[in-house]
Amino acid sequence: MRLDGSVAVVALGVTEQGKLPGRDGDDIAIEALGYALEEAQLRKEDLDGLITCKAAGTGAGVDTEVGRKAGLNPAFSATLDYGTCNFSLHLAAMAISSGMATTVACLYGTNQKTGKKYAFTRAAGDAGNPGGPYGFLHISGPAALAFRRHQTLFGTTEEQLGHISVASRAWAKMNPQAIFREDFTIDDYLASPYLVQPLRRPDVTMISDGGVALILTSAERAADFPKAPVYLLAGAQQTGLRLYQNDDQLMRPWIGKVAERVYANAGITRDDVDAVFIQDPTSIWILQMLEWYGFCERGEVGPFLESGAIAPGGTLPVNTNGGQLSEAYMWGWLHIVEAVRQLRGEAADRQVDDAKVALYCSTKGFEKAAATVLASEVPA
Amino acid sequence: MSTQAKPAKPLPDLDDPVSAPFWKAAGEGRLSFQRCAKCGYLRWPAAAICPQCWSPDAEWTDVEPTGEVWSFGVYDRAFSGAFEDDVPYVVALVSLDAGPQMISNVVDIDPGDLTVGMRVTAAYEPFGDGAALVKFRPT
Repeated sequence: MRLDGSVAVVALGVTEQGKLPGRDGDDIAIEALGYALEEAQLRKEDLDGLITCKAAGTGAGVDTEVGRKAGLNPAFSATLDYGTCNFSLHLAAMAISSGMATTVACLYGTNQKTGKKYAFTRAAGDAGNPGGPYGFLHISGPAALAFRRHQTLFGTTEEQLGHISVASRAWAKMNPQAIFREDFTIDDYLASPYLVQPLRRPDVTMISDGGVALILTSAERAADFPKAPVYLLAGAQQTGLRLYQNDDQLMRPWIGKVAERVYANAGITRDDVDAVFIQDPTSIWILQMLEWYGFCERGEVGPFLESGAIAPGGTLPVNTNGGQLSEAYMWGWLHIVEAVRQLRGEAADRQVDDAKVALYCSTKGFEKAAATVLASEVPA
Repeated sequence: MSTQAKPAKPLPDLDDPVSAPFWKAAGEGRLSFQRCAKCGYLRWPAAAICPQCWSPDAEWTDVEPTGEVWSFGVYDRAFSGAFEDDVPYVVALVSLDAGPQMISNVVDIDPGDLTVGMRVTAAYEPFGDGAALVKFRPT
């Protein structure tokens, strides 16, 4: 999807992250929308598009419910089963580009930490490969298999993987919104217990409550908002829906197609990217996507990580918010918030110098992938 | 993880007419998949239509119960009480010589001795009335 900056993010709304007991995911999402409307200086009646994102296992995030609770009658509304923000952003861009709506709110809210217990321990990959009877539970399972395969093919070490969690924490320490800000070294990593060998506890996100809202509109309208617009240059997606019918499914080689398309559609190369945001339910997402998006050669992510490349002061700023590993588990939504803050120059101590172009990459599990290129300026 | 009674391990539904023949064949010591009558594709998991050509017609066909370990993880933690007594246990993705890739356990080996690429053979673990799970052991 080539956008050339025709659509922009004009406002952000973020609730407190962590534990929000007694709240429902929809109420949290609506609170976030309130902050976004305030930032945009809009009334809720000014929104003509609403895109909600289901919060897995909680029942929250359905457009018809959120619209009723928030008192909205937008021209266009839709629910995504799993936004990771990228899929929501792309739908919003399509709605705006096609004229279905002009001013679209994308929302996500969850009480997965303090609310009704969600079965994050459910069988992994059961739709494509019955794993429950064999104890193939939790996202750590497929992530562990993916990492061991990478180790076998390329000699990647556990210590090299550990540099992802360490770098995420170093960035999070500069982010007042992050839940986890204690010191965390590679020795701490190596001393942490395994969940599923070769993955350790710090390789996997903790669960948290929170909400995020974004408001998008066309480039023509974007100039009228109080905050500097952040433009969408391009978006791309690719699925691997055949799951284990595909070879090397857990390596997700089809993410490479997203990279090709999103760079081509944005008219950039990876060298033009000033900061990268990678949705990270486990560290393996970052490990794989740094390669698929071309920030290092295939198989060379281990030495790349070990060099400190993605840590503060490194050559490639990655997840400057701390990511899901250290900031909060918001299924990628806070990654886009951070991308916008960086491109606005609002990232304070962790601000990337002269940040003009950001790349946001995510997946829905091992089933589909998406990426968006955002920029502080529309290309000439 | 829990002070309540341990939950039972999830088992395949033998009342599902589409997939039950797979588990029943395993109960007889056979690894059997639906071979599409139209295009020859082996379906895994069992399915009412062929994902390749969409034909509903298929014949259950025994295959060589051998393959190799594509990768594996060692569960040091049980994410469900049902597997508490099993830790540490191995979950592997096995690439069968016949084509399909199966998630399963590799048994009869110290997890520290298992390697990616190791050759494995089906090991059947009975459950229900004459059915079995398909696990693997080193060949």
